Order: sequence, then structure tokens, then C-alpha cells
Amino acid sequence: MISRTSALLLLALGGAGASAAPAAPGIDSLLTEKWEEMDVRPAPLAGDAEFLRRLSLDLIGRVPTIEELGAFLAKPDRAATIDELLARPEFPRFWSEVWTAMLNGYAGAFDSQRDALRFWLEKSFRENVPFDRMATELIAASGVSSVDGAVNFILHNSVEPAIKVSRTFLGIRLDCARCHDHPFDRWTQKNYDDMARFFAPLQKEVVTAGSTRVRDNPDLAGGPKPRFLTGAQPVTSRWREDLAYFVTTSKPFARSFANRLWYHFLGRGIVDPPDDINLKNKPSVPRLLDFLADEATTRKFDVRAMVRLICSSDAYRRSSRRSARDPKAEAVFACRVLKPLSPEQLFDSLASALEAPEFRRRRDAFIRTFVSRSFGEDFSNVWRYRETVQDVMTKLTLDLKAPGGSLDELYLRILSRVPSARERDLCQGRATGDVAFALANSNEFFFNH
Amino acid sequence: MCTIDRRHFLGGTLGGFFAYALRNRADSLFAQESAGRAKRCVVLWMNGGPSQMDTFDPKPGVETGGPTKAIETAARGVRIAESLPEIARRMKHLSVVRSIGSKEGDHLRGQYLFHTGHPLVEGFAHPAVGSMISKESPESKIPKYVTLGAAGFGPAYLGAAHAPFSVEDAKQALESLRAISKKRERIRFLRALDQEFDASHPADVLTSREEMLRKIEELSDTPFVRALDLAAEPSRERDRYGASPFGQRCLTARRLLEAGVNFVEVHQDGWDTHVDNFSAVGNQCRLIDAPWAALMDDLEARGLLDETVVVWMGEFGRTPSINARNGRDHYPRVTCAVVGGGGIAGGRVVGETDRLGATVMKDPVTVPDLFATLFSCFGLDPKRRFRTEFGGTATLTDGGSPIRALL
Amino acid sequence: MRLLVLALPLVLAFAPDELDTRIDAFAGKISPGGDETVVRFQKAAGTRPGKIVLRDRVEKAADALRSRSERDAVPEYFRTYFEEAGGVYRLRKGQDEVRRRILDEFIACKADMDRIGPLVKEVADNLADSPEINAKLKAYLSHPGIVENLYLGDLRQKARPDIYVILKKLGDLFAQAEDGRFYIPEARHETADRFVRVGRAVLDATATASGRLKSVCDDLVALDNTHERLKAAAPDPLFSMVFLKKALDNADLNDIEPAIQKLKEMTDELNRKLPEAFETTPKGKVLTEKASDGIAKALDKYDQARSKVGMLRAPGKQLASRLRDSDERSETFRRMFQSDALLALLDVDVNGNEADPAKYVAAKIKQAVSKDADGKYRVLPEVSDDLNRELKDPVRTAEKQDRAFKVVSMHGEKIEDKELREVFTSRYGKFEVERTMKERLSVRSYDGLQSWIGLHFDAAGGSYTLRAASRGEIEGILKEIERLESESKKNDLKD
Repeated sequence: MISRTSALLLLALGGAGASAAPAAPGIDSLLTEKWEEMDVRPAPLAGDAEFLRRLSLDLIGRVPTIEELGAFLAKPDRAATIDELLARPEFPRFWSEVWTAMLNGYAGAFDSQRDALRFWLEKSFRENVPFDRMATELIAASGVSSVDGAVNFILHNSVEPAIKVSRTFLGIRLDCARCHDHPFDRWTQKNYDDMARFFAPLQKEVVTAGSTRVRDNPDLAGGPKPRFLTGAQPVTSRWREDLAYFVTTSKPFARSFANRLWYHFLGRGIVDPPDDINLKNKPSVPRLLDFLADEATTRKFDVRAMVRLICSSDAYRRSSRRSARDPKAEAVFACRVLKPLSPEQLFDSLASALEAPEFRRRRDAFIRTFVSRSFGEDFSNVWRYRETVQDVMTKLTLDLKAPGGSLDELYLRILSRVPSARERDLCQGRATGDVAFALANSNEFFFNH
Repeated sequence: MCTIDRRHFLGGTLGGFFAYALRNRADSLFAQESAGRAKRCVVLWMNGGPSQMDTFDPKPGVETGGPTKAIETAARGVRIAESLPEIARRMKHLSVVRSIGSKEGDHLRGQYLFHTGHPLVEGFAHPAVGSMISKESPESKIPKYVTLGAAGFGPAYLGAAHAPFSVEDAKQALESLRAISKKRERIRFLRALDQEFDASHPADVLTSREEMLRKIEELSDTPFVRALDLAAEPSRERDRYGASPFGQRCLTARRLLEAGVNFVEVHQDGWDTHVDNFSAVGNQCRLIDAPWAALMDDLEARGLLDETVVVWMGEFGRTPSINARNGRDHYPRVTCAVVGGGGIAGGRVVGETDRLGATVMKDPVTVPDLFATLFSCFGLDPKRRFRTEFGGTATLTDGGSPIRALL
Repeated sequence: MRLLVLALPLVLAFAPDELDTRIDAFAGKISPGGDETVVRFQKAAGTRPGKIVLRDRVEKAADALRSRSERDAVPEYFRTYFEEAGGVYRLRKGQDEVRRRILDEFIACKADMDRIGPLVKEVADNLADSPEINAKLKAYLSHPGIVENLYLGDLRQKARPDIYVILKKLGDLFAQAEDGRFYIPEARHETADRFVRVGRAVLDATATASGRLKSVCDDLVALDNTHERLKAAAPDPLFSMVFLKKALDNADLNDIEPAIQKLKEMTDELNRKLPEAFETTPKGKVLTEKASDGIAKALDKYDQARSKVGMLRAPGKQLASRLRDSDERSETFRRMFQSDALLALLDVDVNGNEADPAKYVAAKIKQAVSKDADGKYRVLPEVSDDLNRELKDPVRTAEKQDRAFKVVSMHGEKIEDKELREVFTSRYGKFEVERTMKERLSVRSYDGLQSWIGLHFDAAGGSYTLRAASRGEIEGILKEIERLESESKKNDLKD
């Protein structure tokens, strides 16, 4: 009778590196083409355990449980697993948290506006609302902040909405253009002014029960008309709605959407940073970006369809192991980069791996410890490494209880793999608490690799 | 210190462009005179907006002055509220700036302005002054920017290395640091286990992380940890600062400054006196008077005062008019700060408010000007540019010029 | 007559997807009757730019409805509560509660306003004539409705807290439905649940503690005043709250566990330590000397709390009755709004000086003017700029207000009920009508789509046919859709 861990051990050792025919010919053939052009050798594909860890973190925001890992290793059906994770309630919840940070940062964190936005995002992801529709609602929303969650995006960014909308949905930074013409790209101050005027009719009012009502007042839609970056000007008196239409039917929108999804899964955008495409920051694999943008458009911005497309590619399975740093290879996804865990992912992973029920109830306080100094900061590059010395110290002093079990189980729970021979040696005679501490604070745990 | 106001002199005779050019050069001339002396800064942050008319700009006998009486100080011609007798005796080291004005009457916006020198715009984060000082200070084994009693404002585009080390509760922080020190063995074990992964995943972020772990390991041996331990201070020293949290923080601040921390912020709540202003401010003053005085004395006695800029300020001033609850409301138009040490001339008054305290009559000063003054004590050019993450450049201050009367 | 004090124009009637669905349904029911243009319109209504242009029309129609509603606000008010017969207004059946409420509030407010009147008159009568700001202020303060103006804004809420004061303290936890009742939107459920947890913990803790206090004080001898007060106070959960409140100081809504834990601990500690406060003497059970002082202080705090809570009970009850839902969460909030212990926790300043309207007005006057040696009042120079801005054009403002007052009065004069007539022919009545209608209209939604369809189409047997006169409208819409499409095709991005 083989013990569960031994069975897992066998499976874990067995499933590495198999490379079946890629399920996403477009993505992978375009990348292969690029690698040949640049004479870059791609890293091998990651093993099944690594794949599941990545997928779980990217879709449901935590590492897989020991049971989930066992089930996957027994039957590594990637497509089915992707579908299964997409169907879980944690998928929309986690994605709503990532997107709330991207749209509204963490400033004034956990206030009612942020909650309502997150709630709306969760609903949209749960119902698989097409992304262009989501973007339209976010840009053109009217309503009461506590009831119509989408309104909170514009409310929070009401000082410079044109800049935020441009960054988020077009991947174009107009920031410089606020004060002067862009130093090295084509955007002028006039572009900024023209875009900013779309928001001139915006009105806010505090309502009886304390929330804010946001609305466009057509009486303020007079004066010189705004102009979108493509040159389009509004036709109706609902300028924000016209803007949303122009934005979502523009090529940069499709590209930015594709790029952001790519950034989420691969840790690095095809344009990186993802909200700043300019003459000095071009896509590393332009044909791939165009391909993904076209796919997004053809599939009518179906988020889950795009998720499936990306996650079933070999590109997503590329290993992050290598012998030396190679930024050129990283830029063209021949080798995967490391992504830090967000505070939400960290909490959920610790809670899942270490089963500490006390700990579970204090999620908001935990997250806030890591973001309390980020006042006013923009989080559209949500996967950037931001850890401070104090953050590391906080983690080192967390009061976590190690679950019982063997060394192998501990490794499987926390790192989703079994220990190597060297590691077994090092852990010889060590208390479980010590090992759990080390693993929970390790780089391997803290990064999505 | 030269007291002739060069600007007016030159402006009168030459006028126009030349006056402008000369004036600008005059700025940097003055800046150089006191350049580079300061190495450290301590900010006593009075959270809530301290009432200037009941602290450093009293107006007894006037309709809006309330019952606050003024007393003479060690600085000739400078009078402050009578509830700060100990500080009054140290005024030759401190100067009062009575004419700061801003538009930010909201607590958070005011705090942001007075910590970063820029108004708050979501998505365009600016670094706190502590982070800027940290960036400009040499590498160190210990944190360069520490906040006591609050989380503090962050480094924005200057990066995680210049984030504040927040000690919200010194005892807890000490316990954490001690706990980490006890965990050294475990941390070493952790780093040993990390090796395989690090070797097979060479990346800048991992190098940074290892750096931080190493720093943390070493931290427990540094003067920084010792500085946080007030039990090491003889009890008569501790008594001089008093047992209040503010007192303890001031003592900790002194120890941290001695240990080489470049920027310490001491937080004190309770200044938002919309209700019962006079007794509340009286209490607050009593709370801060002795510890602050002790801090000034110690800095002087230990030869640190010349290198340490001391700043006392809050997010805005309060209304001259007294509201129906015997309180004062927010009044950013007239805000007061006190500065000294680090090359700043003491015993002076910058700016003047009118009889009732409602407007600034002379020498208006902005928050960027205050920061520019601070930076020039450190020998930093306030017009120096950094690259920001939002694609542009930013200067150290938002167009501020150093207050020449203080330098 | 337009309501003077009007909020923002109203929001779109229906959520975007709902509206889109309705537009599709409508388009499906159009009978083009062979008209090429109508066929094109039907097709276009299904496209995205088509919907954008149609939504624009729908919103404009909704705006028009809203304007009409605003103009009709005052008549609507009177129609709601009164029926007219032969030029006389009689209160409708079932409105006795409303009548009572209006009269009670009127009497209470009038008492306050009578105290403010003399203060204002004193200044108005004695203001200097120059400089100009003084004359302006004099004109403003001499207006017959000035006392109502000053009082019936924020000041009244401070003196007599209403449900909005409580709502404000809760953050925007509640939203208001169209029927005026309050509910917790789904997005706020998580936060509401935290409040509920704290609320339940407090209710339980105070119930336990007061039960214990009651039983321990049962055989307490009425030795002196303190003992008597203690015996009376013991069973009141509000009294236990005085001891337990500390647990919730600095409680963080995002991290309620520590506070709830602390509350438990303090309740336990209270229960344990209670017997220590008493000793048995030949006279019977009394307080120990040591405990007596502390208990006396606690009783003082209790009295303060009672007077504060006293002012919040009525609005609390009213709010509880205006909650829409009956799920567990809402039920707990109902209990919370009617619990003294929880009302005491609201950080509402109802006992401070600001709550006394006379003191408040006196302080405001002091902030603005000073009496000079010649006995005349003059505006303080420092505030004269601000005051100038605030007063703007007092004469014009006064005229607008007078007009509004006249309109309401005209209705008021027709009221048969003597007491109600007094209310609605006074300036107070105007404010009452405006306040009620402002709130009512702020949650009203207008079906712009229905209105627009009605303007341009005839409905018959489940299908719609375009009216001949509206052909131009449809052609205009089609042109706009075309323009929008062509604008969206612009691609000046050169990539």
C-alpha cells in the first residue's frame, strides 16, 4: 500500500518536461519564428507541478493544495484544469482584486468606493462580460457609488481621468503631455487637452445616504469639442459614452487588453511596462502582439477565451530555470520571468498551505500592512516587485503554525514539490516549525515562477 | 549671517531681467553658505493641524486670541504661548515661520502636502521628504528613514529601498527585531535552502531580496536595535522625556539620530481641536513641551544640533475665529512651523500675520519653500531633477525657494 | 415653479444592459410598413453606435420628464397629502401620522427659531451702513425669512438629529430606493456584516453584563444617592456600555476581531470583579468605599449618555422603520438602531454647544461682526471677502425665496385644518415642502425610453408604427449613427 506522499513523489518525479503538440499554434509559432530570428534558445517546458502552481496562482490567487496537486499529477489534463479553475468562485474574486488594484490602487484602501468597484468587477468576471463592455461601463459609468460599482473608477481618478483611461485601456501614457509636449513620443499637450475635455461634463454630488452620484451634465457639454487620439470627435451629447466607443473600437485597445492579459500570465508584457507604449518602448514581439490583438477582437474580447488561449500555449509553460540572466531571452519569452506574489496571493497561499484559521479572519489587516504606505501610487504595473525591508521583516515575524506531517508533505503543501536530495540532507533533524518557517519565507514561495 | 535683503536692493537699482537673474544667483549663493552641514533631520509631526494662535503665533487680548497668554522666550522679540515654557527657553535654537499658506484643508491632503511637498493627485505619487533625504544620504546598514508612531508616507518612484521603517509601537518593533535576532539560525537555514532556487533563477529581484534578508540579519547587531531599547537609557534620562508616548518617541528619536539614522519622524496625535480648543491645546502643549526641550538639549549637548535639522509642523493651521463648541476649525491659509538646527538660524521669526491672525501680511511662504530650506541645509539643490516613473522628471521641490532669512 | 434647492438632475433610469435589452425588444416590435428608413432604423438600433445614439435620446427624454417633475414639485406635494374639493384642501385618509409629525416638528423648530430671532434682529438693526459689506449684510439679515434660512439648514440637524445624521455616521452603507426606504446594496454586504458582528457582540455583551449587574444590585441597600442611582441604572444595558465602551475605542472596521475579543474579555472581567465592589454590612449590601467614587463617576457618564441617546432614539426608531428588507442582516440593523447601547456609540455630537442653536448662531455672529465703540456692528475686515462671496446677491436670493414662499403659501391658504394651515402659510412650510420633495425626487427614476417611444411611435396590438411627423427624428438619428461610425473609423494613430 503506497502512502499518499510516496504516490505523489512518484508522480512528481515522473511528470516533468513532456512536450505535447502546442494547443496554441499561433502564439508558439510566432515566438519560435522570433527566436530563430534572434538566435535564441528557449528554455525547456516546466514540469506539471510547476505548471499547476503557476496556473493556480494566476487564476485563483493561491498555491494548489496538496490534494489538488495530487489530482493533477495523476491526470495532467491542462485544458480541463484551466476550465475547472475558471469555474471556481475564487477566479472572479481574485481577478476582481487584481483589477481593483490596477484601476484604483490601494489608496484609501478598503473604503466603500473600492469595495463597490471590486464587487462590480467580480460580478463582471463571474458572468464573463466581454472586456470591451466592461471598459465601456468603467469609462462611461453613471450612478450612485454604493450601488453602481463601476462608477468608482472615474470617481477615484476624477482629477486626471483622461490620463488614467489612456494608461489603463490604451496602454498610452499621456502623463508628460499634461504640462508639455512629450519628450520623445508624438503626444502633444493639445492631445492631452483634447482628451481631458471628454470629462468636462462630469458632475459629482453627494446623495442623501452619503454616497456620491456621478453623472454627465449635457449642459456642460458645450464649448470646443474634445478629440480622441485617433482624431474622432463626439457626435452625441454623452461625451463619455462616445469616448468609450472610440476607445474600445481602437486598435490600441485590443492590443492593450491582449498585452495586459499576457502581462498577467507571463509576468512581463509584450510591451513592458504595459501602460507605456511609446517610441522608446516598443513591443518585443510585434507580430505576437498583433496576433493576440486580432484574436481578442475576433473573439469579441471574451476574457475566458483569451485566458484559455494563453494558458494552453507552450509559451505559458516555459520554465523559469536558467544558468545565467538573459534579459534578451526574457524579453521574447524564451525564458520565464519571476513574478512576486501580491499581498492577497500571499495571504491566501499561506492560509491554504498552513491551515491557520485564526489567521484567516484578519485578511484585510494583513493586506493593509503591505500597502499602507502606497498612498496615491499607481498600481497599473501590479506585478512589479515592491517589497521593502519592513515587508520582509513582517513576513519573518508572522505567527504561523506548521501543520503536522512528513517533510515531503510540508514541501508539497508549501512549495508544491518534493525536496531534493540536498534539501533532505539540510533538513535532517530539523524541527517541522523551522522547515515550515524557511519554506514559507523562501524566495521560491514568494515568487510565482 | 547677512541680513540685508539683497533682492530688494538690487531690484530697486537694476530692475527687470537683471534683478531676476541676480536674484536667482543670490539663492544659490546663500544656499552654499550653509551647504552640506546637515546630515540628519527630525520632524515632530503634530497630527490634526495644531492651532498656531495657541502655540507659536499667540495674539493675547485680541477678539480671536482666546484666553491664550503669551510669554517671552530666550529669543528677543519672539513670544509664544505660555503653555510651552520649556521650549520658550530654547528658542534661541528655533525659529518660527508664521506665514505658511496652502489650499489643502482636508486632513489627508494636508498631510500629503506637508510630507511630500506636492498636492495629492491620484496616480501621481510623490516621495515623502524622508524618502528623499534617504536617497540623498550615503549607504547605511541601518534604516535611513524611520517613523515613530505612524506608518509614514512612502518613497513613490524612489523605490522600496527608501521606504520608511515604521515603528508604530517601539516595544513591538523591538520584540519583532529581537524575535528576528532569535530566528537568525532559522534565517540562515532559510538562506541555505534558498540557494538552489536562487542559483537556478538568476534575477535582480532575488538579489534584492537576499540583500534585504542579509540586512535584516545584520540589523539585530547594529546600533539601530540598541537605539530602540529605551531600557538601556538610565531612568533619570527617561524621566526628562517623561512617560508619555510622545516623550518616549522623542527619546527614541534622539537615540536613533545618534545611531546615524538620517531622518526620523515623531508622530503626535490630538491636535484636531474642533471642540474645546483651549484646554485641548493646553494639554497637547504640556505633553510636548518637556520632551521636545529635552531633545533640543540633548542634541546640543551631544554636538548633533549643528548637523540635525529640527522641524515642528502639522498639516494646517486653525481658524482665528472660535466656533460654537469653543473650538477652532481648519485654516490652511495660515499655518505655522518651527525649524531649527542643521545650519538654520535660530531665534528668528519669518513672516507675520495680521492683528486677528486671519491673513498673512508679510513674507508668505509655501510648503515647497519650507522643503527647499530643508534641502539646502543638506546641501541639495532644490531644483535638481530626478526621473519619475510617470515618464517625466521632477524636482526635489515643487518650485520652492529656500527661505533666506533662516539660512 | 422650480424648486430652489435642487439636487443634480437625475441619473439614467435603467442600468446600461437593461436599457439595451429594452431597446432591442422595442426594435423587434416595430412594424416598418415597407418604409425603407424605418427598416434601416430597426437594423441600426441593434448596433453599438445605434444604441449609443438612442441612449442619448432616451436620456434627453428622461431629462425632460425630470424637469417637468421638478416644476410640478410643489403641487405634487399637496396632492400627495391633501385632496381638493371646492377650493379647499382636506387631509387625505391615513395621513394622521404625517400630520402629527409635521406639527410636532413645527412646534419644536419654532421654539428654537424664536430664540434665534432676537439675536439676529439685534445685529440687523444695529449694523453700520458702510462700508458696502455691512449694508449687504444688513439687507441679508433684515429679510423676513432669515431666521428660517439660518435654522432650517444644517443647524436644525445639529439641534434635532434626524435619520440622516445616523446614516452619515455609518458611511455610505445604505442606499435609498425609489420608494424612499433604505437598503444595503449588495456591494456593501461584506462591510455591513462586519457592523452586524460588532453590533451583535455589543448587544450580547451588554445583555449579559446588565443581567449580572441587576442580580448583584438586587439586594443593594439604598444607602445614599449613589446607591439609589446604581440600583436604578443596573438593569439598563446602556449603563454596562459605560464600562465596556473602552473595548471598542480605536476599533478598526477592517480588523474587528481584536475589538470583539477585547469586548468579551472586558465583559468577563466585569462579571468577575463585580462582587469585589460590594461588601456586606449590618445594614445590608453596600458599595465599598473604594468602589463608590468610581461608580459615581460611571453614573455621571451614564446620565450624559442617556441624554445624548435620548435625542437619537426617535430618529433611530424612524430609521429602523424605513429599512426596506427583512433579511437577517437588516433585522439586526433594526435592533441596532433601537438599542441605546449602540446609539451611544455613534460619534454624534448632540450635547455640545453646537446643538444649542442660539449659542451656535451667537458664535457665528461673533465670527463675522464686532460691536464698535459707537454701538454699531461692523463686519470684521478679515472675513469680509469671504462674506462677500457667500452673500453674492442677497436681494436677488431673497426675491427667489419670497416667490417660492408665495407659491407654497397659496396652497397653504386652502388647507382646512387650522394648525396645518398655520404651518404651510409660514416660511417653515416652504422649507418642509422643499426638503420632502428634494429627497423624493432624488430617488425618482424616469423612463426616458417609454417617453421617447410615446412621442414618436403609435402602439397597437403589441407593435409600434412610426408617426409620420417623426420621420425627421428617425432620419436625424440615422445620420448621427453614421457620423459616429465614421468618427470611430478615424485612425490618426498611424499604426
